[in-house]
Amino acid sequence: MKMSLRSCAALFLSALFLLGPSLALALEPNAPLSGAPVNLQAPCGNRAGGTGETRECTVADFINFVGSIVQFLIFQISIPLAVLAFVVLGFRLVVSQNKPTVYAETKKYLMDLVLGIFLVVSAYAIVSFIYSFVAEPYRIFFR
Amino acid sequence: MKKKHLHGLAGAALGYLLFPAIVFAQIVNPFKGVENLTGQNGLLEKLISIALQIGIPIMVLMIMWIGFQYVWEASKGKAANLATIHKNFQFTLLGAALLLGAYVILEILQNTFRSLQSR
Repeated sequence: MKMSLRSCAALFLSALFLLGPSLALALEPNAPLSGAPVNLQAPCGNRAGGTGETRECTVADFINFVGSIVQFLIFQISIPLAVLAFVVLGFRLVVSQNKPTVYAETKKYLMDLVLGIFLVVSAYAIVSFIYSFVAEPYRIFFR
Repeated sequence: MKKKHLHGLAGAALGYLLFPAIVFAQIVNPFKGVENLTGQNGLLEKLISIALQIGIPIMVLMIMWIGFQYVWEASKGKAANLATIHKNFQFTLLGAALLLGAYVILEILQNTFRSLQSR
């Protein structure tokens, strides 16, 4: 089936619409509407041998989990690697005197590095932009 | 054969001379006091500082060498060589900026992501 731009956009928007509530509630785990009060600070899930207070896991917990993975990947992996790559490339440029091939190679690496950082930043920015767009109305009107 | 013996003898003598230094010197772990990866006293800052310790003297020597080459080639009046040296100088300065600006790059990246995060 050929996917036109319009049908892609419609699918994307409907997916966003469906994702809305779960995204809106991602900041803190959603409490049940009735029944006994739940301690939202408690860790979720059944801990084997755990003695502390726990509660049921929700979709919001899953989204928070994915968010923590993304944060780990960005702050602990990609930023240190990018900075180390900058240092190594600078070192190469300083050390390799009078070698035009090395200069060209290093320039290419630098461009790739900047492109990679730009991709990571833009992915993060797009997701957080859409998140704020979709989550804020829900947070205002449906809570 | 004889030369080999001489080398061994010299090495043994050097080892004998260095022996007290090795015994009395505290071998310092360069990564001592590292608590985390990216924060204060982190592994990344330690690595950058080690790279700077090695890189700054090399950087200074290279810039001095390029300056010497400028003077040398200018005195001979060779414009083609001057162009090459000029290119070397540009790339060396770029490398020096990348090395010296490593902390700045780190701060920029981290603050960019933090500002995106807080929304």
